[in-house]
Amino acid sequence: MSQLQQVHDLVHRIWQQPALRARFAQDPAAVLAQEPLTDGQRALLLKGDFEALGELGMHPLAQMVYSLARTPEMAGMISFTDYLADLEEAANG
Amino acid sequence: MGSIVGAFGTAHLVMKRGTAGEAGERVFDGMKEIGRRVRALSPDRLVIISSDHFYNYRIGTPIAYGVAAADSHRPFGDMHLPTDPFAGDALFARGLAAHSGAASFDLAVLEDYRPDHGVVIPMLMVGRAAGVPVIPVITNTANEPAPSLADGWRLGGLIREYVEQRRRAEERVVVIGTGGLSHWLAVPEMGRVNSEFDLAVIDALTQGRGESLLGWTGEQILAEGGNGGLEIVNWLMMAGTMPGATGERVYYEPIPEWVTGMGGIELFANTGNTK
Repeated sequence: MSQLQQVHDLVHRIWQQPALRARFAQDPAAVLAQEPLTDGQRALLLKGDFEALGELGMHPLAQMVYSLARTPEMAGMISFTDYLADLEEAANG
Repeated sequence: MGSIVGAFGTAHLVMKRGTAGEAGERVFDGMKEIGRRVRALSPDRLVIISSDHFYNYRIGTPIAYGVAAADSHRPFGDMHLPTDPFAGDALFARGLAAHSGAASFDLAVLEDYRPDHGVVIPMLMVGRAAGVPVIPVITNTANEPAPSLADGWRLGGLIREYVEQRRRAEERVVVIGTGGLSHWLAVPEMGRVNSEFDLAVIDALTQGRGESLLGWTGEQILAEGGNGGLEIVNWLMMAGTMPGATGERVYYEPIPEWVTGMGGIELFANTGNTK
């Protein structure tokens, strides 16, 4: 697996494995330390902004979902929570 | 024979309420209106066409088009969406894949697919209480090259054929193509919205000129609609189920705060030059 594939694989697993996602949310550096990544990649993943993720070569779609896991503000912004009750009332009466 | 009784295009995402002012509320009202119109058509089945957002596929998954074959779908739960299962129709999905395969169109059967917001929000627009079985058709717009509009349109035609030739008499099917319109995700242009691109798509489809878009290349779409704009293939597939039909815009708002041109349309059965 190439270095970039390792990065994409990690992002995929963060979303496929709730326990890993919870650990990552609590201590991202500790999770990244256990991954077969270079120090440079870990630094960019910890920085976590789009510029850093782009420098890693991460696919834009993977950047989006990584950001949702890495950045609570992003997860709060891309959320349906405030609409759900309203939509359900409109749809279900 | 069954029939496609309605076809809609809609955005499949909204961002935090209050962050786009009245324009954001108009989008949400538009989504509710689309749900109301779908319910008024009394569908027996909903085909919801969406992209996968890396919650199921991996980068490089060699599938361009897939259909989720399950009698009960378990949502992925992204965007804090509910994870309660909702009804599907595995037989419909497998039959569609077989019909497409017989026409030399590769539509993969997806087992244990967990629908993300692209399917779940449109399903919620129609309403869980309605209990209408949903058949998710999933495009892989992360692929390079991305699925072409011409192929999406062709698969739309196969969906129509399948409903008309293989499904039970009187079955009423509504098709919803989701996603888009212009948006640039995680690239330097992020935040740009191109209303000219968005309205070109909306106008062509509602005027029954969907085929005029089929020559658009991936490069053109990336330049004018962004990498998120590739999701218009979902709208073209929807329109391909009802070629020539005319319709109307239900909502459109360019929303820079949500980095997206947000649109919704309805196409009417038995209108225009419907073939």
